[in-house]
Amino acid sequence: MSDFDLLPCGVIRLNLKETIVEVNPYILDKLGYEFAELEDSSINSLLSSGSRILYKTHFYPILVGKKIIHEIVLSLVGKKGNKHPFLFNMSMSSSDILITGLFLNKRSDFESGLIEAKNAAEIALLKNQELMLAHKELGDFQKQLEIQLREEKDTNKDLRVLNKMISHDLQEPLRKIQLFASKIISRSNNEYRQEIIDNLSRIVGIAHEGHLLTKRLQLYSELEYYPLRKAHFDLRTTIESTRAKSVISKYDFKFDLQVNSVYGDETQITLLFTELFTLIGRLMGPNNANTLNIQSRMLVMNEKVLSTSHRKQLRLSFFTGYPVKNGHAVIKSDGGGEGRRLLDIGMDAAFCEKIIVLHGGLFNLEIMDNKEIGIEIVLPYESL
Amino acid sequence: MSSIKSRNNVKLFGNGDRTIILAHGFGCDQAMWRYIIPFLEKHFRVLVFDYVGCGKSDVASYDENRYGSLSGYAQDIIEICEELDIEQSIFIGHSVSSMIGVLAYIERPQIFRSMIMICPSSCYLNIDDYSGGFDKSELEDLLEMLDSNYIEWANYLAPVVMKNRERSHLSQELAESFCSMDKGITKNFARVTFFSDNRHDLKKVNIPCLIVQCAEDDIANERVGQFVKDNLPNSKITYMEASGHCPHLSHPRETVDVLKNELFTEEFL
Repeated sequence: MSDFDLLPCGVIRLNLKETIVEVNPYILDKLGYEFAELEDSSINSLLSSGSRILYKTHFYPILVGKKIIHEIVLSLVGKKGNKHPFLFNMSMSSSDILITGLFLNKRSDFESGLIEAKNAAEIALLKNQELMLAHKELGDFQKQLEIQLREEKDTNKDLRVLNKMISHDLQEPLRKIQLFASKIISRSNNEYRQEIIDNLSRIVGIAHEGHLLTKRLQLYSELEYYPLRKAHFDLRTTIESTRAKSVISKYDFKFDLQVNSVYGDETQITLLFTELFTLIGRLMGPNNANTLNIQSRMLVMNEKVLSTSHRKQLRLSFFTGYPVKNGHAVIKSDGGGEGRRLLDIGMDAAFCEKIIVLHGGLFNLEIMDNKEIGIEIVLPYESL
Repeated sequence: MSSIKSRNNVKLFGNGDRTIILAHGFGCDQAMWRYIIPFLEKHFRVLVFDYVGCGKSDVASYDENRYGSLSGYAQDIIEICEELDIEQSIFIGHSVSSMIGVLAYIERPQIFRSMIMICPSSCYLNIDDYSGGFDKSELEDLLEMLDSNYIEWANYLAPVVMKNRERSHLSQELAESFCSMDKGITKNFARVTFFSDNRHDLKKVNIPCLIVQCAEDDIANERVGQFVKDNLPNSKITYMEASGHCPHLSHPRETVDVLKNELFTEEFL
């Protein structure tokens, strides 16, 4: 009987060629071998594949270098092929290699759990670091965006000033031309030929139109920077009050309003209706007695197809009777229309679109030859 | 000390005209060559180094993307050669370093004039008719084993980080930190080592190559060594009596004899 046989731990003795010289019963019993089956075979025959690689590439060089190695875990493979984790201590002398250790079957499940938890914690830590990094990057992006926004604001401010200057600089000469031509006419005392007076009158008229147009252009461009002050207000009251001052005040307005509350900037929406009625009057003729049908409906959008953040929208429809004076156009403010651009239709149409877009809505205009005008306005809806 | 030399813990021994580069394999570091260097430094300038993430290299330089394939490790060799103006050197690679050397040569042929591959394998996996020695599940067992030895890895940073990197020779300190490795890096290195397939790269190497094949090498068996020999256009193979996978550690004398036989031939020099 060997000295090792009674030990309550495993002992394997190898020669320097790493072949098995001695194995004690602690290990033989667990692995299901007789010693004769293992004698003179390589230690590799007892190691699982992964353990063999790790032993040969890492632990064996350490053993040769340091002559001793503590607390390494490798799997020993039993006769039936089952793996048993084994906690090794190894030492190398000038004549042999001694392995002592314990099977970890009972502990290995617990340790596996610990390792799993440790790995999970490491992964979580890594993810946390990634998140922190992403958060930092996000912060950097936000800073960059803020800088860009500031630059854009500055540019916008410059453009605004430039626009104002141009509009103003254009208005002033036009106003002066108008004034100067009018004065010449009033002081002419029939000294000039009628042809000259007619031409001067034409100049006054053109300068006046031009002056009005540049003023409106200035107003139009200033809409871009207009800070909206949104509130709920009564739709029908606003339409009626606008109608009274409009060129289509004589029209028969037929209301079919299922929703009578608008959420928006009341001043701008009032301007919208003013421009809208000017547009309709211009296209239909202001004195041409006609009917303007006005409908309001609530749209509940399917969130999947909704392009705005508002699930509920207010759709306002304006359509006239026939006939339209001239032209044919289908205009959609989302760019999907065909035909002429809104500015080609007129400043009034352009004003309408701009105000609606500023409110986050949509503007569609359809003018059919010898038929009718159909206008659709969709605005985000906020309940009271 | 310049950055690459420091990063890869490059050490130079001897003053010969010809430079020999010794590249360690998976699982250890330049200390693997400790028994061979005394012989080589008498005749050659000997360069040893640690791949980034191994031994006393600069762990902070480890980049998962770069070292996610053997090409990243080959880049270490190329950069060392560039920094030290090394060309026409003799490359001796152990285990996976044989294929790392192949990749370095393909990218920068002028750095090597001949190669010695100790226990090489161009592919450790059994794929179709090719027998690399391991099934995928067996290699996954290796990764599990790495996890089980968490205490071993936990000891890594202390000796590596706290010791003075400037100390140059084989000392007690070296023995203490012998083959110290970081667990995460070792796992990644294991993956790229054992799951790589470089069989098609062998044909691109036309300089003289010697394959040193050990008896009873369970990591790179004789068939695997023969495959490398058959596919390297200008190669020969020598069989050692030494068994195992690290003959330069376990049988340094025989290894030196093998090297002696080849290194002084006209072909290699």
